[in-house]
Amino acid sequence: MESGASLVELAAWIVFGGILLLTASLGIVLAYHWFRYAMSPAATAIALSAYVTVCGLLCFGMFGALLALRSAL
Amino acid sequence: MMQTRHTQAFHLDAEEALVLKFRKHWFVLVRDSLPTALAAFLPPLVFAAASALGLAQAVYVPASLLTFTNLAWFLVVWCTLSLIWTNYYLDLWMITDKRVVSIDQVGLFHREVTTLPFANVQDVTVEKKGIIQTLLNFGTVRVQTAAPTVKNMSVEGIPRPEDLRDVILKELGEYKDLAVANRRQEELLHTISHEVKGHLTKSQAALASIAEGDWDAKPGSLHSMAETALSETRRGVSTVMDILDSSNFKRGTMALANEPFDMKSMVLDLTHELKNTAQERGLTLQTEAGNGDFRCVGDESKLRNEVVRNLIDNAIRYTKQGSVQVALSSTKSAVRLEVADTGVGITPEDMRTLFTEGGKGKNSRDVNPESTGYGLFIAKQIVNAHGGNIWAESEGAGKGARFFVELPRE
Repeated sequence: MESGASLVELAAWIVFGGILLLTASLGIVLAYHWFRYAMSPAATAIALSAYVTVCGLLCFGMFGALLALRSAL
Repeated sequence: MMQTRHTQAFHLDAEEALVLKFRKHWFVLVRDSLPTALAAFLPPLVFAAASALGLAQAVYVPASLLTFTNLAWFLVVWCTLSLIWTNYYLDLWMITDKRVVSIDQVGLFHREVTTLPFANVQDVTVEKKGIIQTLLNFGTVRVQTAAPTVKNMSVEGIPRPEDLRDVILKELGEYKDLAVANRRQEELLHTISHEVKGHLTKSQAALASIAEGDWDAKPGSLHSMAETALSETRRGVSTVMDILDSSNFKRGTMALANEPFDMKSMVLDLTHELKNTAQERGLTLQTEAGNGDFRCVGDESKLRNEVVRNLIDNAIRYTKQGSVQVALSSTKSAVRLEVADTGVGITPEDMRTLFTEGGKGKNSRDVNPESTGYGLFIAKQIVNAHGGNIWAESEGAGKGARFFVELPRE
């Protein structure tokens, strides 16, 4: 039971790491396209802020959930 | 004037005006995003269904793990939505006064820019399918081409497609009218230049005869007046010749010789000839020609007078102090000439119109007010006609300039 719980926690951390990596990579590629090709600097700024804010909030929430999971298991 | 496709960022030409720019209808974004957005609710629905079926009680799942899973899923959905929006936002259609441009963002890494010049456009049709397209007023616009080898252009989800069709057809009509007017104007300009050249050449000969003393002794004031008139007439002949040359290139009636010649001896001869002019202006004219094969084939006279002389002469004119360096080098397939100066330099704005017809730089108006703006245009046409390249480099105003000419070897 103990080892199963730690395995679940480890898997959750790996998923978290993978998602962070995906979010950051996609963010860099998208930002490159917005800065290079979008004709309105305002649209680029809004898109970048929205992307970073939402991703930041969700990642922060996931991190919080992971900490709660550690104490729950 | 074919349809062209490339993947670089799109830029308007120097003399091209943007008429209309638009992206697809918002409904296309909603339609493409809706399945992904709805998928966000999948995990909560699955957990709710599991609870309803009593499966949740059988396996203990901590609430924090459920929260983590839901948030991870929301993040994936958010990333996908960002990607869909990017593809929607970066897809653009543009109508300029010369062509129709479609920029298509395909996925993350492929961006295709398709341009269709008005010369190839035959007709524009609009198609609306179903009640949603009719109610929201969007549809597919197809630009049909005149040439069977050029593909039609078709884009779906265009808002107010009839208005767009009218804009394209209006621009197309104006473009065709303009093309006819341009051709007539070109012919008229050619005829006038030809006539003026004839009169000016006769005046030049007569004035030269007076100034050079072929007639009886004349008062000093008359001699001075004849010399001024001769100088002005020579300048007039030179300007008319530039306009005629430019017109001949555009009409495709410029005849070029095709004979072998030695580029090195031509350049050395010219720099020797222009050395005094440079010295009179307090400049040093340095020439550097390495060893190698400098034989080319083409019109030596045109290359000498319209290209090499023009570049060195310009470098001397546009340099107040310092030096002009002429370097000649030879590679396996080409001969390269470089003319570098420490003169007024070229601004990025001037660089764009440097080799265009009548393209005069901002600095050139102060330094060389007599410039017709045809010299570099003609030089480019001649070099290109020889299968070569001509280009310029400069770090900006006041930082000098370097002009390069590359011609294929014999």
